[in-house]
Amino acid sequence: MKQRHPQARQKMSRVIDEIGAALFACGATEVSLRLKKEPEGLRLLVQGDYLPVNRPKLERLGKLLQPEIRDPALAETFWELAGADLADDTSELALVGQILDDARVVLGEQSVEMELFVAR
Amino acid sequence: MKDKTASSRSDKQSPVLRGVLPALCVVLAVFAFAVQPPAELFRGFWRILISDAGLITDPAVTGGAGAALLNAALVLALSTALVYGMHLPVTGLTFACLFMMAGFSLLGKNILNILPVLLGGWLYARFQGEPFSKYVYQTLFATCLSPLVSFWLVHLPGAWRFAAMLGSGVAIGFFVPPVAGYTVRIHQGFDLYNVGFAAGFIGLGIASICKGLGVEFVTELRWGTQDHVVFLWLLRVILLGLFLAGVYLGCRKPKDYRPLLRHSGRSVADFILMDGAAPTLVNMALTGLIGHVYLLALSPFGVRLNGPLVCCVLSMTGFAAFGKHPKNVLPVMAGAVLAKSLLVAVPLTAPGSLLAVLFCTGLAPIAGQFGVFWGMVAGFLHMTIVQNTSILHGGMNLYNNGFAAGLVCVLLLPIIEAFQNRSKE
Repeated sequence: MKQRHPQARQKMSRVIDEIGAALFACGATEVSLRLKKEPEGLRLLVQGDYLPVNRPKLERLGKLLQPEIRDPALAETFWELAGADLADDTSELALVGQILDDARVVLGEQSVEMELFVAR
Repeated sequence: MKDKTASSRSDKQSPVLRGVLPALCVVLAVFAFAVQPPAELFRGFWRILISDAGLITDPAVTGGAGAALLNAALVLALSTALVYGMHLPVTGLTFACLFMMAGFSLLGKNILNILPVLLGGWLYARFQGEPFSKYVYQTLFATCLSPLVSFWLVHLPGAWRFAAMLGSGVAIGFFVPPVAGYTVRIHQGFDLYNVGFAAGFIGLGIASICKGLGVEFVTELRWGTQDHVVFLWLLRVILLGLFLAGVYLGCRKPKDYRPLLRHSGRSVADFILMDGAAPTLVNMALTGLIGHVYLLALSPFGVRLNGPLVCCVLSMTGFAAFGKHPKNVLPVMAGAVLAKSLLVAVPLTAPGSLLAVLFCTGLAPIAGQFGVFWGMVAGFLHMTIVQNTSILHGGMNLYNNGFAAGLVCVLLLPIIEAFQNRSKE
């Protein structure tokens, strides 16, 4: 069956919300976001800085965004909870990891680059 | 950081983790055949299939403990086969959902009345042009309204009954997923039994329409007390098995387990995805043990384990992979017990209130997020509200506590936020 993602745009806006909040929580002073529309979906390119003391937090963020297992049923059921920002918990970042169809996170000394993809 | 391409395929997961649910099927089936002679077992199983299933119906009373456990084993086997057949990974949501399927087969679901609902969920996926795997958990949870299917089987004559069973079951399976997608926004993930909240509204709609047409849902209380020892050993085997599986997979010291307790439990707190299988399985055993010990502590007051109470413990155990842990369930349970002690209209050992103390743990994220006090308030409110919700859907929503928990969230969350905003100022 051909897979459709009618909510890709809404999902990506939740991802942007969560990622922005997470990076600022890690001490970022500047975050650049570039959103690209591709035939297969939406790609978000993120660049930001962070305080070195928060590196463990960002390593965990990287793991949550690149999970070994993605469960489409879980993402479908709960994606609308992402970005609600009611709870200061890593569970929403884990949810973002489930919403994404692909992710790449590269950590530098004081900078972070991400490439996050939500399929249509 | 190394680039990883995640997959939804299940082949990367530990065979021990993937073996837990099939093993639970086997345990239930072994207990079923051990406690009832085969001929009586199958007669009892047939009686369960053709009987009423609304709240509160103990299938162990209808057909015997063995027949009830056989029903649970079959329902769990079918649900597990669905999930595994779609190559979905085993996550916390898988455990939460499938333990609920097994548990609620001891409180109203059966292998017959869930089938039309599953068909409805499949049709919804087709309608959306999506694979059924995306909706399989919501569809399985939606079987909480399956007593309606049994109601038509028992109370309608001739061929009408089959049309009504099929029509109502398919409608439930078709409409629960979109409504559940909406209700999750209302309680913001603080009610772990989200589909129960959605099903409460759908049940309210169905009951109201049927009442207008002159059909009123009535169910009699069937509450067993004869099979305490069987269920006691069943729970011991399940909880010990989960604990040992967790230890085998690597959770051997308190420091391996403790990080799991930092989560508030608010959805989506999938402990398997966030902390791994080992601490999650240990957490399931410990959280289930809390429910088990609570019920045993009430033994001097005449409380005996039966189908519905085992259902509660299995639900707590399953959701301990998806939000519940000892730190967030205890305050909520304490609030519910407090309500039970203070409110004269809620007897200490009444079936409904026994279930409510264990099921109110669906509000555990409130304790996890806002602290012990608000957790206790949530438990207290839940105990009072749940006494009045079953009548709204005529006892057809088996997740009545999930419905009540959602209402508690609607009432309590704005109040908590108002207090928190004021303290921030």
